[in-house]
Amino acid sequence: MSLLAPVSKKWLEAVDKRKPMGDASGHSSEVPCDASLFISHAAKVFNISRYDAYTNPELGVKITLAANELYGLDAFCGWGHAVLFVDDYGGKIKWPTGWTDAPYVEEYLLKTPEDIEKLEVKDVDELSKGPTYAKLWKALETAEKLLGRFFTPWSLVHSPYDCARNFLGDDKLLRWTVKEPKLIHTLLKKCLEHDVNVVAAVLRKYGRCSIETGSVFANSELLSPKHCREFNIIYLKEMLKRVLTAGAGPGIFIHLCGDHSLDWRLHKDVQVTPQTTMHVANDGREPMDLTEVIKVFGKKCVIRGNVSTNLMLHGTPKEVYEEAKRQILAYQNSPRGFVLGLSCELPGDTPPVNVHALVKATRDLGSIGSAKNLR
Amino acid sequence: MDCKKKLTFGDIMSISKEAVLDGLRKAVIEGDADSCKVLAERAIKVKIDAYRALMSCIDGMTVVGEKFNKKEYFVPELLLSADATYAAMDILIPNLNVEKSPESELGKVVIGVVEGDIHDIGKNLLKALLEISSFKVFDLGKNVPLRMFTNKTKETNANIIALSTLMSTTLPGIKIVIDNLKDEGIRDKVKVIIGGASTSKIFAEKIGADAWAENAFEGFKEIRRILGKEGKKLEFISSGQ
Repeated sequence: MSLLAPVSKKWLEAVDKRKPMGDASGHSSEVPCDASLFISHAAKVFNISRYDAYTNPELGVKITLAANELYGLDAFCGWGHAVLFVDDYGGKIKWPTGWTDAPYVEEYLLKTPEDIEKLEVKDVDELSKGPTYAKLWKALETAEKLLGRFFTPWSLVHSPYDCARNFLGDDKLLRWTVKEPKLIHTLLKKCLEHDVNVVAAVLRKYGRCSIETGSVFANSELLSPKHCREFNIIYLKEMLKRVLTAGAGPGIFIHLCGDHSLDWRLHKDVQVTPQTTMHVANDGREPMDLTEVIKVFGKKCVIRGNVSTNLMLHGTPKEVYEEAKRQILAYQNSPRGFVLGLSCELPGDTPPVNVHALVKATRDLGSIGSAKNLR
Repeated sequence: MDCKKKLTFGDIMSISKEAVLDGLRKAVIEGDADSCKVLAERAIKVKIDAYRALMSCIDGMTVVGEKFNKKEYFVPELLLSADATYAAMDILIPNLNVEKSPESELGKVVIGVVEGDIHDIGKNLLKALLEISSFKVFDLGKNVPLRMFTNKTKETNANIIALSTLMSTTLPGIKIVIDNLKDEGIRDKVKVIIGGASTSKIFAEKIGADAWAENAFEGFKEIRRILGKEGKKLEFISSGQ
């Protein structure tokens, strides 16, 4: 599909230059601005349907790249969604039909405790040839073609608890976490093996890959800290340890989606690299104060900002600019770097002027060198 | 909540009326649907008034709500307690000494997760609390086309619409529902309450909703408040008490 104007090499180089390397000496002199989790807004920018953006990975990669360039954001491109690999195992995905929805599981694979016992984890070969990788390979190949030397293959891997949610469904997973813990541990062990194989597939093809993962369904609004630790953190930790040992990384994005007021500190047990970006979204309904997050993680890895997506959608450019400014000034001296970001996915209907205001704030204020001089 | 500490059938069959009522309350708190079912059957067998037995379950849910507010309980515990209450209700409601009449209902609620979102845990909890408390609930489910809210409200003469969404991407849909109510000329006949992780009091005020709630328990309280039922006794039956 002839869609894109040539991508500016100058922009690609600038993004690459601003990329935080997790180096305490500071690779970049500017705070980058990354609003990844971007595909629905990119679809809106191009006036194409979400259905096309999610079911056509080549298109998804192209529109995210072009929209990032349009705004001057510090991210390249991506493609993925929250219910990957469901159809590989026989579950059914409902693809979006409107302007606001995202892919979701229409029919869960697992319905009974016996289904969990019988579930067989697919090996790397099977996954590589399955429906999800059929799309992911197209996304990765398109990105490689467009980005050249700036390309880094990625592997979007749901935490074992999030994977279990996609296979079993919200209601059963939550009830059985309390009522049938042994059964859920059986499922989580299988999801862990699945996750390791998901990453191994990209490593086998490319020899390297960054990791995008996090804690989405295991959060403080739904689960107690005790359950978050027992059913999420332990498995997330083991998954990251194994994929890093296998050769993935060093780039890791850990997205703590939603309210993590009571469990974000538990993630300190999870292995990170200096190039990891730790992203803690909310404390209740409000963006998490990252001062404490920086104390716990700042010396280990890069910290991502969390400008509210509600503000992006409903606020004025001035309000967005002021919040971006507040976060930049408060957090830009995090020891291994700070990236201005959003609390979650940029809503499709976000006014473009608000994205512009976000980026403008980083360019106006996000010079780490000048902030150091001010101290 | 420890689901292993269940009462045995023998325990339940040998206990007194007061202990049955206390057992129901505790079984709800423990989220023990099996014990709730057996205790409810026992209650009917030993001629405990079904209304009293139901009130014990609701007392249990009140404790569950308090534990939730104190962050001693989280969503799985709430779901199990709601399941336990439903298990008792299935036995007890057919045994209420007067048929439920429309007048005994506290209100009619059209409830659903707006189009574009499929996260329905909070919606399901609120539905459970409302049904347990004698509201008539019309559950439209999740990812509900926006027009369905107005259509169902007109069809059922509901006096409450409860809209939920977790995702900020779907927030504009809530405002469209309110606009649709105005277009249909029924905005003043129905109260609109909104909730879900991406919503806020400020957003609710901005779009002209009547109430906002942070979670299902608060939603339940708010619905009673805006209907002027706050503090009033629940009305499962109209006489015999």
